[in-house]
Amino acid sequence: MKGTTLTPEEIRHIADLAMITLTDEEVAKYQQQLPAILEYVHKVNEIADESKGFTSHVDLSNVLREDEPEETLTQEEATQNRKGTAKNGYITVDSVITSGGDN
Amino acid sequence: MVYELIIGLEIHIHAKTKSKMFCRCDAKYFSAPPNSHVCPVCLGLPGALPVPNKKAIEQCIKLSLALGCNINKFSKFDRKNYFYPDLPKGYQISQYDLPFGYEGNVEIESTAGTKSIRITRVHMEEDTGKSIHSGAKTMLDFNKSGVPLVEVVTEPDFREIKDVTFFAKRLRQTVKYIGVSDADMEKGQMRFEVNMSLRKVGEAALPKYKVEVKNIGSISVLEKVIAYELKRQSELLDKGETPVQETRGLRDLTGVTHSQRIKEESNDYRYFPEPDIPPITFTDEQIFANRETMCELPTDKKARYMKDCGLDSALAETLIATKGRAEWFEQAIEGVTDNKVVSQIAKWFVGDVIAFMNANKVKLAQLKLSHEMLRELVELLNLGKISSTIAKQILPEMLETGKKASVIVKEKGLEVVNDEGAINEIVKKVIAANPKVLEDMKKNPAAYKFLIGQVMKEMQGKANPQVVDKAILEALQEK
Amino acid sequence: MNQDELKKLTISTASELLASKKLSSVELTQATLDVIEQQEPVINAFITVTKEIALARAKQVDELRAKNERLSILAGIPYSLKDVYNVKGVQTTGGAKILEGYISPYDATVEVLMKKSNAVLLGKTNCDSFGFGTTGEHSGFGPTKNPINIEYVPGGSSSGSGASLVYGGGVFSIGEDTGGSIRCPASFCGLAGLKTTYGRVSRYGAAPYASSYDTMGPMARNVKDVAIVLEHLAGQDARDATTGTAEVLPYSTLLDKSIKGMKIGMPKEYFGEGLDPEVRASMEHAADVFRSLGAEVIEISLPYTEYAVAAYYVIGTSETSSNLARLDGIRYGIEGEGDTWMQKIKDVRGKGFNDEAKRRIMVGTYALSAGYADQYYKKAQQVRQLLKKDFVRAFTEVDVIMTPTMPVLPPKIGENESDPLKLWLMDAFTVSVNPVGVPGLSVPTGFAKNGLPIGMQLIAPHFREDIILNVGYQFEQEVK
Repeated sequence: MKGTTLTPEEIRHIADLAMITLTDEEVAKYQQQLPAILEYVHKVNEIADESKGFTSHVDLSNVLREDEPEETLTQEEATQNRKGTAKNGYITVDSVITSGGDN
Repeated sequence: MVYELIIGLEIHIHAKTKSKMFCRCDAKYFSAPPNSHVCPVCLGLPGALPVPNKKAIEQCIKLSLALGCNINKFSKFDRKNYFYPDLPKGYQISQYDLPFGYEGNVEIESTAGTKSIRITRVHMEEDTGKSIHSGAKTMLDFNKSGVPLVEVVTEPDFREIKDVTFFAKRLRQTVKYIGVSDADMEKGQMRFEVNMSLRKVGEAALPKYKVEVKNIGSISVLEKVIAYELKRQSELLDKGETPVQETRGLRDLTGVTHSQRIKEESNDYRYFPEPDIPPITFTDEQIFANRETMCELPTDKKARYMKDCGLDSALAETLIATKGRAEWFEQAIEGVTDNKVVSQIAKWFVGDVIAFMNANKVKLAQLKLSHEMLRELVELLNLGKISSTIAKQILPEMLETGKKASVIVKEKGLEVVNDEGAINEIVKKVIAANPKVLEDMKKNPAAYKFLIGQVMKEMQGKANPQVVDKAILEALQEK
Repeated sequence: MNQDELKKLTISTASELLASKKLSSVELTQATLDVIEQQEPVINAFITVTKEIALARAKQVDELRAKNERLSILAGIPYSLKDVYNVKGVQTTGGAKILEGYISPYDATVEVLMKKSNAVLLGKTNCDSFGFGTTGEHSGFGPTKNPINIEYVPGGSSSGSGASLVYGGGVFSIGEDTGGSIRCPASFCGLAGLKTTYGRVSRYGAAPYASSYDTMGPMARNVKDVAIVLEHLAGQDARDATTGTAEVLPYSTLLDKSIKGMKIGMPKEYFGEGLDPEVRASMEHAADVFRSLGAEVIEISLPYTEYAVAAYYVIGTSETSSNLARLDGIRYGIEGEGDTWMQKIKDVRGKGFNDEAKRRIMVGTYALSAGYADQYYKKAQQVRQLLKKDFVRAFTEVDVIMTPTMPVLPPKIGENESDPLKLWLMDAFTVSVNPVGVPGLSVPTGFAKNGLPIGMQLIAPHFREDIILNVGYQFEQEVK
């Protein structure tokens, strides 16, 4: 993996997947920083594949819960951090439907 | 040009549980005030952690076995990462490469007998919140967030629309039978996604494109969607174009689909194993026990009714409509060895008893008619003690009052009259009163049947119809 | 109580003073709050000081004590929580701007346990955003300074926890360690700090960094205090499916055992060229102390050490890129601006995450993405199993592994800004421990010429905190 480079488009694509707006300066900065980091961590590939598939990081299994409900948050508590924009107990966002016909 | 349908289904089913999939919120969210059945876990607050619901997993295993699947004895949950306002964690806990159930098979009734539909996988996941659109805003209610879902995915084995609807109906029936879900369509407890493409008849390879239509909330809309897509895709193919591989959605219940234009790349879900939940394992004993304790499935029950009892397909199908109904029927025919009698009981049950229940909004549990009462009615009929007219007449009273047939017959003196002398008297009377019938008989010999009805009416339905028939014919011959 | 006394106050001493009623909890708490108020403009160890809550709880403890109620040893003792822990009704930020103003509606399990013991919550301490940092310079609420010398960093990411204890702003603090975040500030601040076994203490209610690494643990002025707090935190929690069923030991009663005959391993990979000479000298001195106590000190090898940082960061950033996806500005925290819902999410994450957070999220997103997941995420998980095998094998040869906590002395504030990878590499000795899950205790071993502290890391097998607490305590007592 020598000489990893990332184009600005690739940086923006990663930022898009992560839903983060980057300024042009940030794109330039990460374009400069990320390749060295990725190249460094890529060294994990020097290890041969001895894996037997997935191994859990804990020695536990079947940690399950009985199907019994319990009291939870009130509507007020659930919306307390959006008091200004909550409406009749709903949390609001800008419409997720794009307007107009086939777009 | 005529094309061949290539259809696969994905069905999301709300597993019937008291609490949610990964938290202890009450799962009965349907008409609760918004955001009143939420907690840090299903609201996606920082620091909250998921703990899986044992019962929900059992529901998934049951359905997997009912669909003929193998069970992954070592399984896990995985994160499916994407952003959407109704997805509070920014990822959905689902299953990726080790679903609980895989490689199953279901037989459905089709044009040429039965058809095999392969089940790719049955897995467990959590539902998202609910979005309600209101002008320029979308209102979010997280009560539904975290409710357990079982997802069933089929191979693209469907070739006819009616096979799809048969499968969908049978699946809904099956989940209700085994108690995995109430599958109440109006409450959104069962939703469909269809993957559909077309190919020229005779081609062997799968088409190079696939159109996915999501969020179909009923079987009737499912049918309409397939019909719409068939037309839309055929038209494109006729023009030499390949339909775009995309996800389409619905805006109403007409079946018309609309492109959702979501970029293909933004569907990189970056699946990885859920680190907050240790793996799930099953033993052979557990799987065996689940299989053994499962009730008889509708498909098997229907086949048994047809084979063992000689009932026809339509009748058998009506009897298995609900598990409760089938069980009532099975108790009613307990100890009955003559299939003719079984068939009679079935017909009376399906025809008159169920009609009564529907008309009067009576449930099986509230029925005043017992299994023995129905058996007795049929027995009286077969012994020739009452006529079928009388039987039909007294059944409503039995249903309304809970009185046995024999009691009503005795009270009202409704035994069959076999007395030829009495019958001949009435026959003479009726023939004299209906001269027109003799005229009609010149053109249509069967016109005399009208007279049977008149005689029965005169005799309050108590006459033995065969004796009446014979008497009329003899009397007419004399004329 | 004056600041000098507060700076030295241990749980045992405080508890005794409170029990004998020589001091009331309200007095102790008020004195501590006064010190905090005085120090904070310079040190910036706290994001939120919960003055009313502290005094209310202190008052309640005094009332219970007046009724001669039987109380926990921690009752009335002032403590702080790293600002990753949810506390009902209090702001929880994780050290990040994106959560500014988020008032939590629930208590983390750690806080439920502290409330139960009647300890007194002073406030939420400053930290590098979401645990992303080794120095305490990467918080959304300004850097924290090291009170020993304010030109230097206190270590991170539990920077405020460390710094506040140094200046007497509390008797113990509960930090969080994902790659060294308790051990590093403990080392740079001259404190004892325990990274617990993964699953020893519930993670419920702790804003996550990496789900398979995060641990919750105490920082205090000596090993005994760490042991006492651990007793109150350890145990299975029904709300955290990764908490183990291992028995909770009476850690504070297991400290007096002699360590004669114990085998202490020093892995050669941790004593290579890059090690600061003063740190090396301090470790060698510590080894001598162990020998004088009758322990055997031998060289061992952990051959996969060179891959530890790479594997750590691949898995860590991958998990965190997913964990932080819930911060979309829709239900809590700061709000985004823009014309559509998507733009608003992108905006709030762009302005609410600091540079280090964005960098890690991007690396993690890349490491999981289609076409790259196999060579990054999956491969790193394979390496992780090999790191685990290294430790398991080492523990068949020795009872305890001893390394320097940090390869360098505390750097000056601003020293490493231009080189993010260099900062990542500073964690080299602590990051190998988290993917494996074993516990690690940082114990002060001495001071550098510039007066800044040096610490060593003691590592034990899974759920054997008792071993390293015992060894650490014996060392501490010997060098007092």
